[in-house]
Amino acid sequence: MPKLGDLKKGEKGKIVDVSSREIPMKLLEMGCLPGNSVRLIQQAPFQGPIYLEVNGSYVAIRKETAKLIEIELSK
Amino acid sequence: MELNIQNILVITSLILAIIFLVRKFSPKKTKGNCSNKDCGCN
Amino acid sequence: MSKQIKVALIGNPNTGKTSIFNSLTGLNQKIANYPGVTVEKKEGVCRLSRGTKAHIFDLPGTYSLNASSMDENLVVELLLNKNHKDFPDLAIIVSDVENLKRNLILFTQVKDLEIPTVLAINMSDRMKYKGIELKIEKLEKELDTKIILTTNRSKEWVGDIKNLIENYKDLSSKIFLDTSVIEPEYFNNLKKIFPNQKLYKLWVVICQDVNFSNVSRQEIENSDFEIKSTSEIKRLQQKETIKRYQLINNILKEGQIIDSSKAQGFRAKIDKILTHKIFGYLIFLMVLMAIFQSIYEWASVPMDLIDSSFASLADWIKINFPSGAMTNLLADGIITGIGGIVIFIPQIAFLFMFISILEESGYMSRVVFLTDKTMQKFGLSGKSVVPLISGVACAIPAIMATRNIESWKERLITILVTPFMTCAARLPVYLIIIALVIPDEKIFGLNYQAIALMSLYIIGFVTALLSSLVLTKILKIKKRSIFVMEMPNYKFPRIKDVFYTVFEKSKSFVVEAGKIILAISVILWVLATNGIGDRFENPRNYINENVQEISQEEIQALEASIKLESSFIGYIGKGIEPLFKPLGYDWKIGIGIITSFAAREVFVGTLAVIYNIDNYDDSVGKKEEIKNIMARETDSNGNKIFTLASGISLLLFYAFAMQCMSTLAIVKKETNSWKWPILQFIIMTTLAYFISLISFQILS
Repeated sequence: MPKLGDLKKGEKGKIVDVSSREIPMKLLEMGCLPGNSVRLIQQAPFQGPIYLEVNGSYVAIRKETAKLIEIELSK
Repeated sequence: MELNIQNILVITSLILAIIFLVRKFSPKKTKGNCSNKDCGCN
Repeated sequence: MSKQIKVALIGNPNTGKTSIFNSLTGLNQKIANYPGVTVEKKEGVCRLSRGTKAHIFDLPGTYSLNASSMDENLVVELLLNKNHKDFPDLAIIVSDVENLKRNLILFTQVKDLEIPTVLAINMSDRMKYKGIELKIEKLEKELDTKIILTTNRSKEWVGDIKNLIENYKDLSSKIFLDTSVIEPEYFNNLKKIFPNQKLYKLWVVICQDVNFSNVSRQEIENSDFEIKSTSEIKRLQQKETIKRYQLINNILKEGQIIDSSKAQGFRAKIDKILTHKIFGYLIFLMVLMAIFQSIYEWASVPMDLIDSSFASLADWIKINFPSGAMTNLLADGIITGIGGIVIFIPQIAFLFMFISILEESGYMSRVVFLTDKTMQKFGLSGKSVVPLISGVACAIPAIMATRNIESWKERLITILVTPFMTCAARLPVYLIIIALVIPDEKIFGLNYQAIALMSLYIIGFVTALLSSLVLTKILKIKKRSIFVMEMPNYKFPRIKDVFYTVFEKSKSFVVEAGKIILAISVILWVLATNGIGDRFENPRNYINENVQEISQEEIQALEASIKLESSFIGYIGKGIEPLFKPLGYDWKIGIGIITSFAAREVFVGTLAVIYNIDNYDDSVGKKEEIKNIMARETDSNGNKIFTLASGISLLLFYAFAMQCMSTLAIVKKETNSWKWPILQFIIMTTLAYFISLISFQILS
């Protein structure tokens, strides 16, 4: 299953699973929940944080967290 | 030091200044906000 | 006296909550963010009709009642405790029209606490431009609340809100979501064990360590009720969030129409440049340079004005007041000491202004995004950038700005290293020493003095980074890589909001520092003008030189200097001189350093007071600039006190030493332990001592 951390700039996906304990609640409250679509807007240099649009919210998270979120790629 | 009004004023200011500083910097009990654990997240 | 209505302003960060607060209260507000107060708390008074008043509390921004930071915790703590003196009669939930869905999560949670709630939808003027349409009546009915559309453009809504506040008793306080729906089995069980408690309240308490009136966490733990594991609770929290989103989605499907063709064009274009992997960094550097440049350029005019006004005020007092001890204390002690700090108001105000603009506009989040990876290499978070930049103004608000750093280790390190940043209080010391020991000449068009000052800022920043690196290695704290940050929309900062921030912050800075300086100036002056013993009473008998060969003025100058040396302060100074001698300082500088352990900026005031007393000239007429008096200072062998070696040593001492009681107090408060401020004090000051020692010994 692809992970949110695998998305490339401009790509979109649909969130499938966020059950890992390491994912902060705050991210879920921002709308990062199963079923919602997500788009990668920008990737900071040197594997830095990623800048996402999810459920109408704009949020930046670290790669480590993004690798815990399972998604489904959409075209 | 003779006692005239100016000297009395100086002594009063001195006492006030000392009281202020002592009260300002004497450690008082404060309620903590955060325990020493990983409070930044849940 | 009529009853005062208490109103809590609650909302997600970046929803313009502060603008609404300012519109309701005007300048009738106070920000308590200094020692003695637990957390930054903004409170203001709003006048309603018929002489009633509302107390408005602007609570820290939070995304939900599942608090994950200290600031958010404060909100939860207040809303759960009915006996709290600030417990609100009603809550106004401020939400941003563009993020209504997310904002409503918090709204429904507050509502479930059975607090009468009003929904303020802010930035409503952007609706048309964003293609959003709201069916207010429908939403009011479904959400069981009153809705007010607010905007910065007009003021009409202010009256509507005041009306609702006044008639808060008519507002509905029914719950939105029956908590037991989340997972019937678990919550019904909970209800059975605590039949007298409100279910949602219980749930919030279980989710965090918050004490509230009847049930404390401990009681829950001691009872036969089995607390679920953290991951179980997290799973339930997730379920709750999903449930709320579902209900909100259903309501918004009918109450909100979004024409998505009117896309986020503006935002995307600016983001493309500001978060670009090369231009983003270049722009950030340029912004920083522009800020520093303008602080010095723009502030110099008002600074000169303040300087000359204080000098003439002191002269005027000496001439027009009856002569005596109090007049001298006023002119030589108080005015001189206070003038030393007031002169820095312009620079401090400019710094606060720029920081406030960077944050309000939404740019700061982009900087955090860009720098996170680099800062992580030093053991910090991208979010540490904000405290580090604010640290250039003052470490106290900067340390409070660390609260949104999620990882405790990253946050602690940020708190510990922020005081190395060159704060505004170091500036007076740097400027006067640089003027004394660094030549005012140019090399390749760059002024030596400007280079020296710039280097001190760089030394501060580099030391902060290096110490973080060391701290990451030694601190044995498990680190979790947590980082969630909203990227807010770009906004043109509202001038009024920036003005309020600058005004309030500068005011508390000056008032807090001013009180300490005032008190220390008085004590110093008294200690320096009084003494015991024959040397103090009859200094003339102790002049060693052949009296016939020197002029009358020189005799008087010598007398004044012997008198000062044998005053109380002279004895104290001589006592500590051995400690500071190896660093190249005489006893007067030593006194300056001792007094500035309360606050750095006291140093200049201290020297001003001591040298002013020593300086015989001031009874003759015009006050002389302290700088010139200092430049003339010599030791007993006639060698200058302020040389390149002692000057550099002094500059470095101030760069590294932890001389700010207020910062230590705030560190204690934020870490909830004396361990960190004490360690910080010892390590920074020892470091300062040895670096100054080495540099003086090499240079002299």
